[in-house]
Amino acid sequence: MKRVLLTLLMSVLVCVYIQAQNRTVSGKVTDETGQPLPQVTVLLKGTTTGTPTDADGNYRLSVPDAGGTLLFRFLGYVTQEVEIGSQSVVNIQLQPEVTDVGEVVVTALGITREKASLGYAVTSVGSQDLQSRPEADVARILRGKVPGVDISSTSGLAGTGTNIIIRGYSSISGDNQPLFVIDGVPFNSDTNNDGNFVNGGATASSRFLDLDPNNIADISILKGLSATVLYGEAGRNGVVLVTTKVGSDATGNNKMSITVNQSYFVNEVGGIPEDQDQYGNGWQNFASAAFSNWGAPFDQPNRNGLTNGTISHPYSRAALNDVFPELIGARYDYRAYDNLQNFFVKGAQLNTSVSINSRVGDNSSVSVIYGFLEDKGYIPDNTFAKHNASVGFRTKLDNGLSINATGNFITSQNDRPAVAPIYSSNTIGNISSLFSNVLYTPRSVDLFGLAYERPDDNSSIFYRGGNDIQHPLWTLNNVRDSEQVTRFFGNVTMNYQINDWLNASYRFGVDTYTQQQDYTNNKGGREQQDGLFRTSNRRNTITDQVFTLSANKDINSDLNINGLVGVNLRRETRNTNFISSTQQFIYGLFTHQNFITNVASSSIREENTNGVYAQASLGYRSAAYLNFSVRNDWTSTLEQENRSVFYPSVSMSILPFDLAQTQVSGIDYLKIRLGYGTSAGYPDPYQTRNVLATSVNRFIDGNGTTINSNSVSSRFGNPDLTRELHEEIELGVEARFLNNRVNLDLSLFSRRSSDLIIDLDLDPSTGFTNSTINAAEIKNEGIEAQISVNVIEKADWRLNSTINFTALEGTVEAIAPGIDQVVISGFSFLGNFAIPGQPYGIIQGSQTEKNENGENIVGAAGNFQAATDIGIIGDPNPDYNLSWINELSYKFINLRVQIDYVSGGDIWGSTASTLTGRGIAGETGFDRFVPVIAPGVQRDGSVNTVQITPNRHYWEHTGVFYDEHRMFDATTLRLREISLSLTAPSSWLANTPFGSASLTISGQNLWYKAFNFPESINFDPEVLSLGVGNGRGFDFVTGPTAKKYGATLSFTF
Amino acid sequence: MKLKNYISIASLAILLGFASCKDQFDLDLQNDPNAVTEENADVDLFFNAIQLNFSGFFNNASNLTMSAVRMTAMTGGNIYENAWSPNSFNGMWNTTYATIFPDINAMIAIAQEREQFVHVGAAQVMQGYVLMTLVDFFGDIPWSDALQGVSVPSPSSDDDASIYDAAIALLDAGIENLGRTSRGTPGNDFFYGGDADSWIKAANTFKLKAYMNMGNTAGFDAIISAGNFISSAADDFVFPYATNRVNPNSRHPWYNEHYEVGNGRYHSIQNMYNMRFRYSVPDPRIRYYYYRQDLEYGDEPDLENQFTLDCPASSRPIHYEANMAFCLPTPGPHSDTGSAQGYFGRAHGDADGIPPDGEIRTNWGVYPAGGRFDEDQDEPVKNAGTDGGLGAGIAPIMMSSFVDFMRAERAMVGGDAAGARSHMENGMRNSISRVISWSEGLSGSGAAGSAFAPTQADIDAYVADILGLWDAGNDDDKMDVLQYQNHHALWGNGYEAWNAYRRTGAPSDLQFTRDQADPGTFPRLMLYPADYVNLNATIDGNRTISQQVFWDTNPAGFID
Repeated sequence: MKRVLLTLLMSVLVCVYIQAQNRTVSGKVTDETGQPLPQVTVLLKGTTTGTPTDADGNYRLSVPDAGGTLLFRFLGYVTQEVEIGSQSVVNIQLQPEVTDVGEVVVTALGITREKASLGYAVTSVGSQDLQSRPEADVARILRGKVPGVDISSTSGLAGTGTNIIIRGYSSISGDNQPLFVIDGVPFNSDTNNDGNFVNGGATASSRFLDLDPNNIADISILKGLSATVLYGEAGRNGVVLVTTKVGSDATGNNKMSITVNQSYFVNEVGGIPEDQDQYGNGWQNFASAAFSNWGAPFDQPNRNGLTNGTISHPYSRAALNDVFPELIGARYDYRAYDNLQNFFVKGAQLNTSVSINSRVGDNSSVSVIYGFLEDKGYIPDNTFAKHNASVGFRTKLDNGLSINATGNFITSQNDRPAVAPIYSSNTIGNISSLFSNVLYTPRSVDLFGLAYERPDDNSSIFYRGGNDIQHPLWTLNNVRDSEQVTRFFGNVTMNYQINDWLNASYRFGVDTYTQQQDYTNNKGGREQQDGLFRTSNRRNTITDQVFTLSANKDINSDLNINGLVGVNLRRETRNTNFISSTQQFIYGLFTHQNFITNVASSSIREENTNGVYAQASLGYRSAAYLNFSVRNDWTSTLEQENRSVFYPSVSMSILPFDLAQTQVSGIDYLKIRLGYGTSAGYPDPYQTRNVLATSVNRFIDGNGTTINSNSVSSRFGNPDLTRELHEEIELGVEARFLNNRVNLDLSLFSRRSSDLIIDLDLDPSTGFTNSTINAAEIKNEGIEAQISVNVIEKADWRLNSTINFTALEGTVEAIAPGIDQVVISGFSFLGNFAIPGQPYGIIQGSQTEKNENGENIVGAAGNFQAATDIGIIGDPNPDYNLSWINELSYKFINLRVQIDYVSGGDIWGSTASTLTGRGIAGETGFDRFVPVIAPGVQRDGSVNTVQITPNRHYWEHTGVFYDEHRMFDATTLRLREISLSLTAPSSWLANTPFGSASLTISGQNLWYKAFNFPESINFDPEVLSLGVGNGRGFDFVTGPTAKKYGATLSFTF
Repeated sequence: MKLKNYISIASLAILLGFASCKDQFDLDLQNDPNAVTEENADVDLFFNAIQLNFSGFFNNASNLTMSAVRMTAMTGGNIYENAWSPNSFNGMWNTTYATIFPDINAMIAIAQEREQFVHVGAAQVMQGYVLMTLVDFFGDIPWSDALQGVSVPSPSSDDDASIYDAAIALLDAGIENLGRTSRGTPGNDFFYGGDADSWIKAANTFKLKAYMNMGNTAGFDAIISAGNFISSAADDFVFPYATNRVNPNSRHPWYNEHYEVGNGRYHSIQNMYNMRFRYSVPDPRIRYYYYRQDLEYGDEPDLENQFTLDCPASSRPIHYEANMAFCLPTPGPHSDTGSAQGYFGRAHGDADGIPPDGEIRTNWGVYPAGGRFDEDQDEPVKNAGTDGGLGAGIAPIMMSSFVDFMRAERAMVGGDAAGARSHMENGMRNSISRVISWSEGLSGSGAAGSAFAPTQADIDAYVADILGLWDAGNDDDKMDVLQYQNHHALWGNGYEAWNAYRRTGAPSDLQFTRDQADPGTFPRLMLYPADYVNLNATIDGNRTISQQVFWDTNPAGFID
């Protein structure tokens, strides 16, 4: 059977003579429950004549006058052969596969292999798990669906970036994001920021956002190094192999088929904090224009600065008297206004997809997919709009050469509000952030009732006299971050079957995009008060060529050898231009010439990687397999002596019962696999040589002379820099029990990463502030398990329940001699660190001074004292992740529920601590006239008894002052996904033009509970304020998560 | 047929890939195409970088110490331990070790070979000053192990006294090089226009300061008797800022901070009180130093504004002594004075939240920030950098009046009160005339020809008042009078004032911290920078600020 399958698989590529065909056979393919099975491959045995079934499971095929055998093949079902004889109608019911033999998966370089033969874990996700989801980002759809893969979003705003980590973080300064490969071609998935996270770069989109989920046939995730070795160093962080519908072989039909999908989803903020209603703006229980909300009680209208429950109108002030003469002397109601409640809006996501497949002539087929998506976020004017057009064409020339070409064109536009981190006040950098002040807007400040701009010059005004808070609505209306992307990717693949066991193929792939980013900030705000217009233009191009000779030969009846050798040439270039303009001339216009000062810069970068590889796989009686892979790469990022890197891998798979040809009752299938793989990691280009730092236009002196300068670069170029090395051992078990009702896939792995490239911050007393060196060592160990149980299997009823479990532990084993810690992300005083013996990314930050018993030292004034050093305050890594996916189907109704649980992992939470420290959070509605005593001891050891005001205690001791008070455990239970789909039975459609029709109602992130956050904050810890990268466990108020719900209508005709 | 297919595949491959990507096989891509290589370095361009970073370093040093000696308000914490964090010092550390020193070393290597000895000498003088300043701030620091890149990733520290010697040796080497015949002078010398003799005077004055700190009276006297030091305004070592607002911002940092829209920092109530009310005659420099944005603010006390202006609503701290100002701007029951006329700042250690008072706080004036002369204008200057001297201020690094006060202190230490009195009078007059004449020369400042400018009689009356106090007091009182006057002259240079305070303990009655009689420990040394503590493996935890620099032989707890 294996031979048969291989033949089938290669049939598209193989040169065969086309026989004369002059009758047709048709029929319907159904599954074991009688439901039609679309996309089943129906083949005339021994030929390449074939067709997939349509949405109703129907097919029609031309066959020779006499004889012939039909093959019906579908992933997960037993392949069936039926002799045609004289039949003109062949209906067939396929049975689910009961052994894994024959199940094929896509592996490295797009090679399909029998899953049984693999010595490593591969997880496949089919299109049914990807499409019709209320999410434009393929990566976010995958959350919880693949054990060992950690996916988190930087923000819930539409079009923001997504972080993907497979099997833990193994590099300190290098990229830990996986390689995306689309139809065999590496795909740039960078998150391009114009600024660092402080300057608003944290929410930039990740370029896999350019993929259209509706055009994905299948995703295979290669997790371990033994699976990815053929990709060389690019595959070290795992590989996400995407097969598009236009690029897959499964298209092509006798008749033209058109599929239309239309979705509409509502996009809402995931949760907003509940605020207290007892006190308003002020300090120490007095009403005043403070930042904070420790003001007067609302129920005592003539006390603490109030007169008849009013205060002087915030705009009744000297600076605004000419602007708002009507407000001179006006009074203002000091009461609770609903601000947060009205700040977020309901957005909408619209997604339209049309696909057309058609066979052209006998040996060619063409498919076209067009998709349009518009995602409007929970903030006005936050949109992501995208057009995807893809075309695939396959043909087989008379000389036997088969050619397959795909092209994908994408344009997208993303508009986002400006977002930047805050501690508890205005932004850290001098840059606008929509969320910076809005969440803690004092209760008695009417955000929507106070004009946000001066009518005379459009500059921002708000309740404070010094105008030192930019009105959030001014930010919303005057500051925008936008991206436009134009992208093309595609490939041309040629295949030639040299003889019955040797095949040659060549693929040329290209992925090129231009990304334009514009940051527009009108003049008149508090941040960037003269206005700022920052544009960048990136051109990124990858060309990738693969030439492979592959062989597959049965040595004798027991032994099969399967191997390949190949060459891979990869080149990536990037050109970037930046212009930053300040001093806006006319308000509202964003052209660089409307700005008085322009500063331009540019950079170019090129990187070549050339590799050769080989792979051999020996199979014994389809019961034992031994696989070897090697690759050697040469990189342009290192000096000559370090350029060449060799990595081997070996893996084996044993099916013990098949090998022993025995059966054990209760166990239907057992496979044990063991793999060892290696990989490398290269630094970014240009790290090995020193440069001169030059600075033009640095100063203009009193005579008007421009002073330029040059300096020794504070980065030390390290000529000895070499690759980092990753080694991994993986052990796995795949088994099925109880008549195949219980299905287990378990992997254990241990990865050691050494000579890690560290972007090392140096003590400046070395003469340099940073360098890139090879030093650290990290060990990652983990368990990934997937247990799937068919709870109910009846004619009409099916219930499948799957649990995905991941537990990972990444430990920093060593860093460079003479260095005790390295900043991974964040700041040197607050961030993720690598410290030997500690988990990767441990969080350090400021602390209070403690005595030897760990008690807080309280000073004479009753407040905590600062410790002079930062210390470890949290571990951002979860203990484990669990995902529980249930699928219940009854006839044509299918209900799917995915519940995710993250246990542990700490997060530094500015939202929660700021709302508490500023007296907004619901929990702060207590009696504020009763003094409190901070828990701790005086310096002499006696218990502290100094009373301080609640204002002071909360302000200083709940996080605003000390990072350690901002740490929260991020354990979260979440209803990730729920969907109900109705598929019209074919009988309903009999007299309609539709081949199929379905309606899916679904929601994402509809409910969550972070147990250890203050109840009132309603905080969803699934955010990454440090942006896509190696940082984790920080919330700098960069935008809450989103929840989405809606429906998709899909039909074929 | 088959052969033909091989050929067609191969030729297509070549056509599409290998041939069209001839760049593919080029692996020699290690030179960064976006930067210049080190061989292109230019001596004058190095010298520019060194001077600009040097001025930045001085500003950092001054900003970080002004609040300790009550020149500006200490608002970072209510006790000394909380007022500075290790992060505050990263800038100084970084600028010095990763920028100024490597640039100086790289430049000297080239300039020495080309016999450009003025470049070499001037750079050594700056390096000596910077190194000495680091010791004054941090005590033991890396020096012999420093500046070796990744080969010594964690340099260990040297004894502070030995580094002081190294700094003096650098000044001596600088003097020697400046005395040699040089091929040309720096293309751009912000300080002395390439005049080697002036640089020598500056070097000698820095040595003078070192000897003053070390209590090396013989060394001090030898420099004075040689006479080659900064002795007139023309010799002053000051960095001149200019007026360009953006790209590049070339203005005085305090102007940037206080004449745009930001709130800026609070001035010290104590220092404003000293200049305005401590003596029977106001200091003639007060309108140059301070610009009041709102003269009447608080005239009508309104409790709604208690947070905006907390002092009228708060009680005067009971531990404050009689001459410690608490709340100046508002007449009324809580004010210390009847008519403070808008001097609005903060008390020492007032770390409360920030009220919306950016347009009310007393602002930097014309000297040295290049701002606006106070003529009772009664209007805010948060106008996007359009007021006064547009930021063309100076960084007062070392001036002749400072030398007068050092000589006065030296005389007092030597028991020569009469000599001290005369040096102090010189210093006062020297400083007052320097401030006035410089301000009048600053275009746009409003100082020239103003009716509010002090007359000679005002100046004489002030000097006479101070000298009267001097004559009336005992030696301790005299030292207080002297150091208060030194502070007034040093305005804008907190660093020398901090040194003098650690040397003499005077003025002895500086304002206490607001919240408590126990203010924590006064910083005898500053915390080590966070980058040093966090990134250098030889240092295990930060220091306590009660530790003392080698020349500070005064007892623990001697000042607060």
